Amino acid sequence: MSERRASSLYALAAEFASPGALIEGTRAMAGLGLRRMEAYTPTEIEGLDDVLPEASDHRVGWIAFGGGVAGAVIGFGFQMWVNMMAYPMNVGGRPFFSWPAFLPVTFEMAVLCASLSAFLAFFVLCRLPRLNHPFFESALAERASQDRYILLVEADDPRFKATEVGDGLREAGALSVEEVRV
Amino acid sequence: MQPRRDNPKPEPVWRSLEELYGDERLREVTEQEFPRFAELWPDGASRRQFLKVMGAGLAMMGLAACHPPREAEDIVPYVEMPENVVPGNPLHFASALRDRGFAMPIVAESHEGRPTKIEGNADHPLTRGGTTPQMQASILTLYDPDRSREVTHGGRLVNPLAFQSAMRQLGEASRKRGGRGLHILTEVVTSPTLARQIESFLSERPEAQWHVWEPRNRDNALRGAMQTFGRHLEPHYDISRARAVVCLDADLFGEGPAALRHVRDYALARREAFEKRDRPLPQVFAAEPTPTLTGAKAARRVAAGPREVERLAFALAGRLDLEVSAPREDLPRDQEALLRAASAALQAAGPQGLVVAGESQPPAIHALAHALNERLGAFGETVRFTEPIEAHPVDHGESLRVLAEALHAGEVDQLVILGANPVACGPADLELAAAIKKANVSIHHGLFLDETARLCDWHIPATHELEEWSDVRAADGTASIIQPLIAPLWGALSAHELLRWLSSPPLDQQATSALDLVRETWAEAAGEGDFRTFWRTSLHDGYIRGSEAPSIQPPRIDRRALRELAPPRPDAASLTLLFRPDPSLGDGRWANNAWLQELPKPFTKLTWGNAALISPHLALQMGIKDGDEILIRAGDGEITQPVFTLPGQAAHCVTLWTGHGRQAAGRVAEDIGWAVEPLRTAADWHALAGVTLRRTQKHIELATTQNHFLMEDRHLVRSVSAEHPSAHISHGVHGGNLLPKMLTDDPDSYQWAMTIDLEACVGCNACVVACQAENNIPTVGRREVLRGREMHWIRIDRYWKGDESNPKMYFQPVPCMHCEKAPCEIVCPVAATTHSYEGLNEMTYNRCVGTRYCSNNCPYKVRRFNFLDYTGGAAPSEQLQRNPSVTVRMRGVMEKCTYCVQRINRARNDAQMDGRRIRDGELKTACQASCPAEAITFGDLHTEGSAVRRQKESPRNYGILEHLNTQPRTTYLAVVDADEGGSKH
Amino acid sequence: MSAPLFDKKLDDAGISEQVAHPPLHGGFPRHWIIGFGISFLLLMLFLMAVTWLLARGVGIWGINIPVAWGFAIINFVWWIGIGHAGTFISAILLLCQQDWRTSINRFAEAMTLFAVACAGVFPLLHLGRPWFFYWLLPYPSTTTLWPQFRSPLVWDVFAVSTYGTVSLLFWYLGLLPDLATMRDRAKHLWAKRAYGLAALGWRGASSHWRRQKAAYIILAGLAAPLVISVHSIVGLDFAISQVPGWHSTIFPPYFVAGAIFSGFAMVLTIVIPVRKLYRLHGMITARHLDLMAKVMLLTGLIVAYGYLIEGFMAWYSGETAERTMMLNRLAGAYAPAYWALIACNVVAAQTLWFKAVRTRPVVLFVVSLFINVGMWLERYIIVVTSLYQDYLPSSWGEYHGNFWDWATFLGTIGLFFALLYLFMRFLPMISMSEMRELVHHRPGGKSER
Repeated sequence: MSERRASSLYALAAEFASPGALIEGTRAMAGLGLRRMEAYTPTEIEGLDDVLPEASDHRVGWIAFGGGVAGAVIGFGFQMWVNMMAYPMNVGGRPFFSWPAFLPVTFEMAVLCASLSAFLAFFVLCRLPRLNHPFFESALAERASQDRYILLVEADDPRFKATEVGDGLREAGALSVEEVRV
Repeated sequence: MQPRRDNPKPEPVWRSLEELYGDERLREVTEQEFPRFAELWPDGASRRQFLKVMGAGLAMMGLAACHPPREAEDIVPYVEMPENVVPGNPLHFASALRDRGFAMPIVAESHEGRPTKIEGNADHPLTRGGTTPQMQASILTLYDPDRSREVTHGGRLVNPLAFQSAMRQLGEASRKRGGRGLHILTEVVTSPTLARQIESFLSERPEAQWHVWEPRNRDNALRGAMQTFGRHLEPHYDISRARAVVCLDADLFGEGPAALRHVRDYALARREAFEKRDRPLPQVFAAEPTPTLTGAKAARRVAAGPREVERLAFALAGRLDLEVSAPREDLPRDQEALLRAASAALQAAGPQGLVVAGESQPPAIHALAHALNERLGAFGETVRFTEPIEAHPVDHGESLRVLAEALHAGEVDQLVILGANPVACGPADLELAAAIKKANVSIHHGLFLDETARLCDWHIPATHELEEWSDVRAADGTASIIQPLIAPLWGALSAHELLRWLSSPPLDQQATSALDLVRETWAEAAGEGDFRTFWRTSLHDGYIRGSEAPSIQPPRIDRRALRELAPPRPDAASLTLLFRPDPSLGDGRWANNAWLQELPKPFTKLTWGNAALISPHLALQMGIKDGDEILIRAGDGEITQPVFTLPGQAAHCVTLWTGHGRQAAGRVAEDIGWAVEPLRTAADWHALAGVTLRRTQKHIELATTQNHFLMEDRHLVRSVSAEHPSAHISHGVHGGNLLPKMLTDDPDSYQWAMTIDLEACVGCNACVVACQAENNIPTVGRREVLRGREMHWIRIDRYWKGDESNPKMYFQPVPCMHCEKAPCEIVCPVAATTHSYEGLNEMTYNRCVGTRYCSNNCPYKVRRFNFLDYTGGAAPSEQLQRNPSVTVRMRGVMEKCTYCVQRINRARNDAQMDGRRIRDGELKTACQASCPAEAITFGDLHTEGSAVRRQKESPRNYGILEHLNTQPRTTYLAVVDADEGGSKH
Repeated sequence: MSAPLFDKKLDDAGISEQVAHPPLHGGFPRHWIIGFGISFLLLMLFLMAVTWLLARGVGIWGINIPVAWGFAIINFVWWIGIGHAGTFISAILLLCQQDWRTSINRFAEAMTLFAVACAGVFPLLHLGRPWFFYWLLPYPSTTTLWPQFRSPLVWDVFAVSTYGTVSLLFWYLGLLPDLATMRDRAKHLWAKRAYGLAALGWRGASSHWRRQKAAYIILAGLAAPLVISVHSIVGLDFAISQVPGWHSTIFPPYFVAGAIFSGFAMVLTIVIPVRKLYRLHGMITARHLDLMAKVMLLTGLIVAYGYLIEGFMAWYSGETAERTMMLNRLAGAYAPAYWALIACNVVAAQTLWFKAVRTRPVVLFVVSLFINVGMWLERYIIVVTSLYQDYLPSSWGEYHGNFWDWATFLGTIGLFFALLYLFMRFLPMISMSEMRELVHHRPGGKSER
């Protein structure tokens, strides 16, 4: 069992020296009609998303917005409830519904909820935290966070042919190509 | 092993008290040593536990006054009969305290057998409910853990039986010697019973002598009367009928047993005159060397040294064409002005004029004053005369001198001292400390093991007025029965009981109690008729009807005698020391009372200690500032004092307060203040001329509660006049109020409010202590006061106006304003201070987290904060004083005036019981109840024609800092400007 | 463009090497040991002061009536103000695409967190009954009572806690890729594990980068108004009251400016020595100092304007108490403190007009120290001189900090630097990922082709 799994090919990893080279390589793979690829880089690469398939995602923004609105509503509503229903008190002869006094807390609540939801959205959408991703099996993984630009072409892509992909990557200028097995 | 049952041998070898006395005696001894209720004082001070043990109030009623064990004697509650004692509802008993021997009528509040609060007796014909700070604070002395607790002989504990037989033997001995060598020293005695006892005691001992010593005595008045009338007549002033009063260094409102009455009469007379507008306002003219409460209220006042005052008196006599040798040199301008105004006012007033000479003035001036009053026809009008109220009216100074001589000569066999403490506050030149030791046997009877007690062989702890049966006369002669509210806490004896033992009663009379003695006295007085009813009504009312001293027609004054009198020469600008009783501590008898120690004195706002009061002129001359220490040398005596610059002080007079720096007053008074007594001699008892001051290098921080005395044009104290009767000041435009007027406009709700009449207030401080007693307000001590952390819920602000050599002085009591739009409330993050339905600004102690923002945002700065744990350290006995209906606050909590919400709630309960609204005047706050001038009015704004509502409609009504739009519920009635409001400009 | 933002020779490997070296292989250099040692001693002093405080109560401080607030509030405002520079640099400058922030934002954010931590303890300690601090939080209690939402102190609770939280999220999100770098560079097994856990499995996949950037920008967008609101609310803590000298509409903006002012001063106070000790001249260049100095100059001028207007309004209001307050500041018991503050915040700041000053690290360091002191004095003046003589002359009294006031204050300085030293020792002080990005996209950047 473990033999078979150990032997199974997860993907081909190619390392590039610069962002430019990485983009070239990616474009080449896309040319082959491959869709299941992922780039691993030490920093964000401008223009990479244009060549990587299925690369756009705006959900984080919307989730944050929703969180913010919810926070504001809860914040203001809660203060209204406390001062007008739960425990109305004559405080300095001020009206029970002293809305201007309720604004600061409302604002802070909005910001707090928006920030928390943005932060959580990032982790959830990225399926993080996850410490055991197959990519970490690759010998190249270590430098992906420092000075190398890695492109990973996954084996379960319908169009995936090991040799073809390997050659393509080398032509695109990969310093090295290696198999990632899990 | 079995404890021995036989008596101890002369020098017994013993391993335990039990063995020494046998367990019967042991019980008594321990009873003496440990007060009867010892086991009832839970350390945690849990009132519940206390109640449990106490059981019904009735049981306590029985206990009250049974010591040593005797069958219960019932005393009569003031309002309810004991049958309807409801735990939680206090009972009230009318009784009286003694001040300088005279009655201070009170109604004492008792919670389940614990007296907790003293109020004035509103029915009493003399005081009509007013109180002094000392009366209010007396309750704390009752529970003072430093009171002496057991009979000692040569410093060793003596058990009751031994003590009784010892006293009997002494009594026998003195009788055998016909009283030779027997000297009794008392304070002023007005108690008919005590007087009766002493007289019968002396009648069996004809050669014995009775001395009287009271430091705040009235010798000069007595001598003046003798000089004028050839006999001792006691003058009584009726300010209510006076239109012009001239005070020659006389503090009508602050000093003397009738001060409460004077304050009240003056305040009411002026209020009425201003409202009715049908007569000129009564006015006071004062010439005095150091500011007094009277001077502060005077229409005109001059600061003049004692000699100058005398010359002023002669000049005045001259103006009112009495044939006296008027002073040759003419007076300084300000004195001349006063003289003119005063004489004119007196002329106009005629029989309604009054001239009063102060005790510190020499007899001649008293004589002049009598002559002037006669001349005005004031006899029978503003001043009446009675026989002396004192049972044994003697010249105190002389009396003490004789005793001292006898002692020094070693002629004294037995010395019996009842209450007096001449060693601490007697003339230094009599050297009584040394003298007393020369007495063969000396017995001291008093509340404390004080300086005198420590020199005596015997010390017998005395009962507090609230622990004993006795009787006493007020200044006008009206007698009151003193009834106990609680059994003696420390197993003390009353003077009556001590005398009984001394007079070695025949066996059949040994059981006669103090109560029996008092009843005997009044059985005679009551004459025929039902004694029981007489007794009950007398106890219930707190005074004996018709016991007032009858007026007598004084003999015509021989004017020729006046010609011999000559005014003193104007003294060269040498410094004069004035010895004045401390406004709070008196002659020092209150030194161990923390409330009075921490009570800011009227003019200096000084607490915890005294200072030499000097004039700004002198301060400038010597280049000293407040707190600098000076060395005062007079003859061979010298003392040091910190100085305090007091505007209104006569240029060359230095006022020293007595009663400080006592050696054996107790733990509270330890190291507080600087004694002035060493400079005080019999000859110069009140004033001492020709002293030298030298500045030392030391500087002493003075613990004052108010450091800035100018109003900085903030219109805090306002004045009106007949011409300009409105106190309102327009603050320019502030765009109205955006907030709702009141959140509750329910007409059936109570809306509490208060007004304080600044015209009536004389700044006597009674309200401050009353509040402290009612609301369990802690004292914080000198160090904390220095840090600005005093806790008083109501304070009396004092402001100067005008030239500093003789300024106008204003008092302004400041409690919480209970603002409609309270700034403190909106800034509290936890809603610990909020507004009640009835307009109270309420403080929820157990919700407070102590951010202190409320205090910062309170423009009136009436909030007080428990910076440290101020309440935890109270002794068990002190905890007995606490008012069970008021929370004791812990550290870290904000507190402030509540308008005595606990009283409001009690009144509400009572009203609801009878299904009615709270009646106007039925409910009084502690400060209001204590005020002798009725300056404070409290009540409901929704009650038609309620007193407070009437006050609020007065043109004199105004609020302070109104422009902040806080809409205070506490407002003030403006001072009536004396000059314009008066008969003439 | 004047001085460059980074050393031309810098490349990906170089960045990783320079930044990751101190935490991984730097060991404990002497300057670190000494610095941390001193901070630690101060921290112990802090603990002592707090213990005594809790044992006896706030009475151990010099506060009284009328001055019921003292050092606790002063220090709170001072610290929170210092924190604001961090957020300003990392968030607002990011939104304005000011690349020069890149090399200092990590540092500034850390500073924010630690400053907020120091600020946070004071409101708790200054309570009369600190053990009930949670009554300021809205939680369902048996009393059914809730906080009193009209009180600015409650606004404070929300503002500061939100601020602390958001700053932490923002900082951590930015730190994530660098933690991965640390993980991958670490040789020691435990170091690897520690950084690996902290990195939460960050792989630098483009899908990560995309969302991380999105979230990062959003947090920046939220933090920007947040930082303004927080110090505005701190300003309202005073302005809501009617204490003369507090009750003033100018407070919120004037407080915000002051906060940034003091914050940048503190950044410089820290960055200038660190840059030297860790040889980061390549990444924190003279240009950075120059730019920060300019920000200080601007905010300093706003603050100066604030002082001016305070004086004017006091006179213009015609309110006696207001005038007394202002005269007291100018000539009263605390006048020396006031003029010292003017000297530090107004006079000293004017030197920043000169490039010579802005680009000379040592001089700039001294100036920034002055400004730190000046801003503390400003809060001292605002709190004390407004309270000590307000409406009723009868209640006037003075306040002076005593030993325990100072011990608590110095203690928090110890806390602040102790945390900072730990940060410098164990975490990358400069954002490597953002540096790389910067290097790639700037003229002169290595991979620019």
